[in-house]
Amino acid sequence: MEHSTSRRTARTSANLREMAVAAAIAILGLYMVWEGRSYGIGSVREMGPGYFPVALGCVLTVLGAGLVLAGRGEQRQESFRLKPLLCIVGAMIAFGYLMPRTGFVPATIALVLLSVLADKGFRLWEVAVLLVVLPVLGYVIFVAVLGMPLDAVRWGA
Amino acid sequence: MMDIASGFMQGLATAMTGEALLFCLIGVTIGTLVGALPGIGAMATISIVLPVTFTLKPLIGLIMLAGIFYGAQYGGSIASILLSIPGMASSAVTCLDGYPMARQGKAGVALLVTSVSSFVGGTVSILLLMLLAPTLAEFALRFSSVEYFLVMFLGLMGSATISSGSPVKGLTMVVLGVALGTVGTDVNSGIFRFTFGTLQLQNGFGFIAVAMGLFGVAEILSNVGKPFAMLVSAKSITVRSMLPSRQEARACVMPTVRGTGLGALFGFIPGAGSTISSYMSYALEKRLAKDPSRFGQGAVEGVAAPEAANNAAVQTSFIPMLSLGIPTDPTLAILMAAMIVHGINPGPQFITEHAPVFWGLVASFWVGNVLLLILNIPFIGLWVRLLSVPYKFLYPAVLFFVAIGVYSINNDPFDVYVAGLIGLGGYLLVGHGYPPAALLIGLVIGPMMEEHLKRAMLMSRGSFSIFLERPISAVLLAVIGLVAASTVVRLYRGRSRLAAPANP
Repeated sequence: MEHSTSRRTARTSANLREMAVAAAIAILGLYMVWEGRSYGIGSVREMGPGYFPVALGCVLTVLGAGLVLAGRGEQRQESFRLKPLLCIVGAMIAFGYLMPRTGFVPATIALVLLSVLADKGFRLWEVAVLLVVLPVLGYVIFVAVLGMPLDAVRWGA
Repeated sequence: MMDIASGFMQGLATAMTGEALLFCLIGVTIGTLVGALPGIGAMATISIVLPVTFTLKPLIGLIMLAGIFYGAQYGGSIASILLSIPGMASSAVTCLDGYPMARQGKAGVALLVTSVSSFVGGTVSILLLMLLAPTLAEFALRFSSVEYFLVMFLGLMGSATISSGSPVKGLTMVVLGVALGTVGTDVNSGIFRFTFGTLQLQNGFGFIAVAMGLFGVAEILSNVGKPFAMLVSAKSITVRSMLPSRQEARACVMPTVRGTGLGALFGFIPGAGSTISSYMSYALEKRLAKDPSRFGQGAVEGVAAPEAANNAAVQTSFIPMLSLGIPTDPTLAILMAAMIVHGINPGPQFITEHAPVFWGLVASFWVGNVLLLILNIPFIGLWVRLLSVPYKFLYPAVLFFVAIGVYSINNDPFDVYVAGLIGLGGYLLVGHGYPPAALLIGLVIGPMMEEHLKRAMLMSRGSFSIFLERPISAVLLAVIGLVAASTVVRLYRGRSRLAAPANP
């Protein structure tokens, strides 16, 4: 039976990622316990604001630790590519950042440009179509029909 | 019974008015479209359309949003049959026999069968909804915080364990959701929890921003770059080609009946829903069939039963929401948010206080299902043509709608950042088998649970024995114990249910 080394390393890195996720959950749990205590736990009869967070934090830590120890689980992700991830999330962040500052046409343009970078199969004219259609469609639906108070373009700050 | 009959007649009168009919039609059409398109689901659409409903009358808005929700169940099977890509998770099983049927040239038959069995499943369940919801609501008026806490606990537990995959991961997501729900201002003391000094987090994580991130953005992240192939051309589907043979038609009857029964039961249970119902229905049919090897090769039973089940489940899932105010599905939570915005508080008193709204809504379900049956059959060619749009055009548009929809909640970029980052986290979690819906249910129900627990402990003066002393809560506790025990047994045996795609 032959496994290419690249497949084996892909599987190992997937395992590592899975354990990292579980560990992150456990750490979050610990943080909740630590921070929750500062809110005041109170008693069972009169629960303070920290009671629930601390309890939840304990459960999360136990679950996270258990999942780390359990190790390998189901693997849905065959491949983990960083670039599409960063592009899409970046597109969202750019949109949010630009909306109040520049109005929604520049924000939409930024979103479209960043999100198309995530897929390699785009031809230039296809990108151009999206860049024109989406802002127009968005304007028609959200501003004209739904009456949302959004500026198309804002000059200055 | 008389109350039910008269209530329904009044509701029907309201649902048949021009305005109601129009928005019902709009809702179910959007729902079918969105259900058919992989990558965008009912939940994202309902969130985006939600602001529109603020200007409409409460009942009309709810009719439309609900129409999107159950309409999507009709549309989901279209992509499953034609592309072997499920439009929604609950239609994934339909791929198994629907796609082979399409390859045998029987795509039209498959599409007709799914429409009809969806209709049967949906309408029978509406009947159950009409009979059970008022009764349950009346019963629930006797609930105190003690019972509410346990019902919610059971709901969360169901969400964690019944959904497929590792129950431990499901439980983790639920707890994570509840944990996210603690962020914000504590109701009793007014102090800020986990806000990191930001102003926006004082209100907690916006539910819609999290939902959009977890399902909208994460969905796009997992689908982007994947290839997409279309099997059938629009021309080859005529009404003639859709009629099944007599033998096939007869073979569909019992599976549809069984699917309806299963779906109606499972839709009611928190955590179970249309997806689980469709899987279990398929498994049941396969086990009952005289020749199980036909399944996976184009057995028409494998298409009829799950489709009846998922539609039945989606209608009965309204029961806990309308009678108790407890959503068993994240999408229903959004519908509840729509109700709250209009000043209608969900809970046991909803049905009595707002009877016209309840009955108008239920009657609109009937109307909607009829409309869907009429819509689906002639318009199949249209849906087929629409599905041939490659994904690379769809996802930037979806991302755009998600971004603008989320932004428009508060006109605040913060919500968009939340959606984006939660989408990233969600993608990582989902990719490793953590069910996302469980997190959302935790986020919605968690804060309510905390309130009820605090009140229950105040009532009992700090003693946990109150859970055993009251009869209803004792029963609930027993049920919780049963579910926990069966989960442990399942874990111990190391058997996991059919794996499900993580998108709703």
